[in-house]
This record gives sequence, structure tokens and C-alpha cells, in this order.
Amino acid sequence: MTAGETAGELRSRLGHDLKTPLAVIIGYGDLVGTRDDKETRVEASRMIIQAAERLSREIDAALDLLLPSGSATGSPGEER
Amino acid sequence: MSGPLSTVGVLLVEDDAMVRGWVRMSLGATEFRLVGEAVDAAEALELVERRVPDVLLVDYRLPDQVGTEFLRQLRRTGNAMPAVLMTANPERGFNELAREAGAEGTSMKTGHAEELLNALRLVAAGGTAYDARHPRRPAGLAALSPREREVIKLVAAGATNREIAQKLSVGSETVKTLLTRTCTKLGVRKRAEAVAVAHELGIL
Repeated sequence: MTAGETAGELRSRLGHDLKTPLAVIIGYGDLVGTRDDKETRVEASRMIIQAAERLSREIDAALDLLLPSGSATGSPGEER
Repeated sequence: MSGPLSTVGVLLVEDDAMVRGWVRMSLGATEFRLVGEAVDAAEALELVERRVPDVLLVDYRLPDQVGTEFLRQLRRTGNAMPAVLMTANPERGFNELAREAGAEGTSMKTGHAEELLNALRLVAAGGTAYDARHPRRPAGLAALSPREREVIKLVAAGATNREIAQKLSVGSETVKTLLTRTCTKLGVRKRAEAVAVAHELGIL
């Protein structure tokens, strides 16, 4: 991948792939704080955890683009 | 479709299941009722006919089309159903882009349920609701014509003038004219700069 393509891919990931789960966390967090019914609050809490896990995976993928040999999420020398 | 209890039917067009879940939950216990959920523009076009919603809530980045193109397509068929476009990020000129495509409102996914509901209420009542977090398009930047948009998309995809001419079935001089006009409207001189500005404006 050329430097330009990497920059474009990174831009796409930062702008959409990372922002979407972040938006989801904010949105569900708002529902936890503003809705009274327990069912909604429990479901929203569950979705926040799922979105945070997704965000973590997307950050790893974005870091892999920046670091050589895809070593962002593994320890040095670790096979992935 | 409006029911006996004055509910407002919403058709949601969004490919991300988590966002769909958030919208579904946000509309719960309000006057809004989800009459359908589509994951792309093609499915949305079918559901618009079958479910006859009162308002459309459309993600900008759909898998098969951008939301503005979907709305343009819908408007060309004579469908004037009120629509709100959603994005995850504030984007310069997005409100203008949405208005030109025929949307009556914009809303940020990074928002709170009440903001989304307010936008839907205003638009469903026949008004407009453009999210002020989208910075305004710089003054003097005129809207690109459909042909100019096609050209800038092809340039962004790496096509040469000759390839653009072939693709659009026009002469190379016409391509040069279209590119010059596009650059002028975007306030730039080089094609690479035009692509960058078009990205920023959400045209690409």
C-alpha cells in the first residue's frame, strides 16, 4: 500500500470506523441516563460494552496501518 | 404511516446494526414508530413503496450509495417524503449538500436521543432541522452539477481525462471544461486539491 493509500485508509477508519462505535457509546449512554425503564437501561448498558469492544478492535486495526509488519497489537516477535 | 393515535411512521435506512438499535430504542415511548428498517439504498427504495412512512431517517454512508444520491434518486421519482440525513462526524458544507439533495434535516449520530427526536419532529411537521454542528460551506462555493460530481468522483478514483471521457461518453475537451468549472466552484486550481475539498464537503 502506498503512503497515499495508507493515509486514505486511515482517514476512512478514523472518520467512520472509529467514530461510529464512539457515537453508539454516547447515544446508548444518553439513554442510560435519561430513560427510566429498567429494560431499556439494561439493554443500553449491554450495547455500550459491545460498542466499546468493537471500538477497541477498530483502534487495533488503525494502529496496524501505522506500524510496520502489523505489530500494533502483538508483543515483539509474536506470530499473529 | 400515521395511525389512529397520531403516530409518525419512520423508515430507518442504516447499515450499522448498533446504530439501528440506538434509533429503535430512542424512538421507543415517543410518537414515532419504526415502520421499517433498511440496510442499504436498494432495500430502502422497496420499503418506501411498501411501508409508506411519514419520515425517512437516512445514514449518509450506505453500502451501495451515499444518502444524498439515494435522496436525489427518490426525489426524481416525485417522492417528496420528508427526510433527515445522519452522519457520525461534523462535515463542512454537509447541511448545504443535504438541502441540495432534497433533505429537510440533518442529525448527528454522536448526539443524544432528544436531538434526534427534535429533528424528526420539526421535519415531520413540515419544517427544517439542519444540525448546526456541521460547519457552513465556505462562501462562494457553488453547488456542483450532477455531471461535475461524476467527474470529480472519477478523478478521485484515479481516472485520467481520457478515461473520464470514455466513461462519460464525451470528448476530452468537455472533460477539461467540466474539470475547470469544478475547480472554480470548489475554489481550487489543481485536481488533487479539488478531490481534497470535495472530500471535505462530503461530495465524495
